[in-house]
Amino acid sequence: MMANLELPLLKGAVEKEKGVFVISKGAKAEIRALLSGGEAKLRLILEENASLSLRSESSGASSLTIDCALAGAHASVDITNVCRAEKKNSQKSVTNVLHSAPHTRSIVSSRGVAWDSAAVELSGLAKIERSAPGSVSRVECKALVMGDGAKARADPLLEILNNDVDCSHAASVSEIEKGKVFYLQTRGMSEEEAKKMIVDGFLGTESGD
Amino acid sequence: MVDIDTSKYDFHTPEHYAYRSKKGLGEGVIRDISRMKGEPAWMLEQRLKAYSHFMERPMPKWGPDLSHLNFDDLYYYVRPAEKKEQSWDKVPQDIKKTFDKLGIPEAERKFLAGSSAQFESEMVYHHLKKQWEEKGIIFTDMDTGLKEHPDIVRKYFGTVVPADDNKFASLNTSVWSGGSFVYIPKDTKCDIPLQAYFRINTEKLGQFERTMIICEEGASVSYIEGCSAPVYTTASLHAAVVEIIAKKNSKVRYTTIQNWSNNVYNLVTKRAVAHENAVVEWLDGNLGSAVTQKYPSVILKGEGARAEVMSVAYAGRGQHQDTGAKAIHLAPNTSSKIIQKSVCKDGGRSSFRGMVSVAEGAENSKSFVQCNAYLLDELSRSDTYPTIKSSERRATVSHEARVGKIGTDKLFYLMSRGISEKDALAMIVLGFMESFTKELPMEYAVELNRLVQLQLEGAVG
Repeated sequence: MMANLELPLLKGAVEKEKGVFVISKGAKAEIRALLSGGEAKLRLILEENASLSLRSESSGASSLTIDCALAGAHASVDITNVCRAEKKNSQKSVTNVLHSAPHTRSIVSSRGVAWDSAAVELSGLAKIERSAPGSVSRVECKALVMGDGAKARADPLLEILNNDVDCSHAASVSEIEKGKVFYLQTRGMSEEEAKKMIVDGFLGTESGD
Repeated sequence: MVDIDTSKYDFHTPEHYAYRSKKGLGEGVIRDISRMKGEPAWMLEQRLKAYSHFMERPMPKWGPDLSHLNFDDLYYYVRPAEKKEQSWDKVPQDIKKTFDKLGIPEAERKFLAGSSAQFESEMVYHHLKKQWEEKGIIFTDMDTGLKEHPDIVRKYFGTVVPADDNKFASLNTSVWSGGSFVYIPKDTKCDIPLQAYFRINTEKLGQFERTMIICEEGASVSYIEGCSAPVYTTASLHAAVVEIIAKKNSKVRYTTIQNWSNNVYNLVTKRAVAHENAVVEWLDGNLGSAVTQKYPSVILKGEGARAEVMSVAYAGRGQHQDTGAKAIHLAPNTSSKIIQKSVCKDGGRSSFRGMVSVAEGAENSKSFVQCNAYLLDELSRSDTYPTIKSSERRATVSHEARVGKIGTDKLFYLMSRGISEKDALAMIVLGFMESFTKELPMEYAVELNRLVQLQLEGAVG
């Protein structure tokens, strides 16, 4: 099922069953996931005071779903999804975060680039249960449309059942700012190089590497 | 704060009708409606076609719970008084009282060019100042519009919202009655707003207004509609359809404030087509009803067209406000801006459902979506479901949203200035909605602020 999903970095998380990872009380976990095609699903459960930093990178025609439950108080998660879709591939990244304990925190940043006539679909959901007061959530879905026939879709979703929260989300779909490309060209870069640098920056820097 | 007489907004006048259709829906009822109105054959045909589509179409599987809606338990056509009234003096007394309580006639005389009040399913009061008639502006109820201007109606009816668009648009098309018909001729500026006041007054009465606004090249119009309804015990349905055609270089603004009673299902399809360089603005305030589903949409069809949707929603006990907006960019250099503010209290739920779609070829299009929500207690709920779809590289679409509670520091600051907690809360909420209210005509802004204050009473402590 997850033939194409690799986890080159898996620190501090215990795989309870296939595809289900538990970060136990107080643990600090780091996961890096690479998906090179096909469908994959990751489930993550964070206990009290646990923290997780997850970065996924997708290529080819792929669909990655990440379900993350913040089950213990003060659990905290950072998820960064990076999608690079080329040719006629379509790529989907779905991240669902469920806040079910008090004072939990989540930051989800999904970024995708659609080249050629590829399609990128980014979806991020933060659900704050009644049992999770004091929670903080940020969801961001941003896509760059590079190719003439390329398509992008962004769905940052919030479902909030508690008033003691601080939640926000943002989304954008656009092409590269012409001004940025122009600036780099004035510094002696070719248009191609400039675009590549901006795309790399878009996918990498904002949420750390 | 101003003392408010709550009874003003919750009243009920004795029923008095000229004709009421049988309960429930069927081909017979539709034929009856059409015959009563003396409609042309093509309209009856439209109605019947829409009816068969309505029967085939399943209930929507997404969005709020509509399972309590019983289509067989509603009246589909009610006409309160036999004759249409032109002068205010001749309007029946009980109907007048209802409007008096809402403070309409005073405001109307001073500020408004024309006023047609929809009481039940048909216009009772219709008045248009001479100056507008001279300019060729048509502002009448839809039934009269169909009778007197059948060519215009036939040309545009169902072109923006087709009969098979969705289940409730089908229902409206099959049993529509009343609503406004507005036609602004070429290069005519109608700078005093046109207004219609809608009311529901019979238990289990469904209202199916059909409103159509046609703004010819270079013309402009502002249309205002307000709703308030008395409280009842069983569910009522309001399924309106609004179609706007904004031709080249025209400008249309459509303002609605809806305060249906808390048992009304308000399922409305509102859509506009904006041609070259046209501007369409929807201003939408949703305060009452049990369930509201309303997503004012603009199809940006012509180059340089612009859309703006600004809305506020208030969800109290047992209420679900599922509102939002849609912008479909089909042409180059089009732009849209969608702003929504919502407030939830006493277990109310507000959902923002947005959709911005940019088609291939809509180069340099820009869209900005923002929604903010305040949750005033721990029982309430707020959801945000924006969708952005883009098939065009040279387009920019962005969205942001924020949900939270009112900061205690803000409350504390105001209270340290000697303002009570209750007043401080109202002040913050009204300030939050201000960007919407300041766009409204003065008397509407005052009424909206009062309605919100009413709803907020007892929010703290």
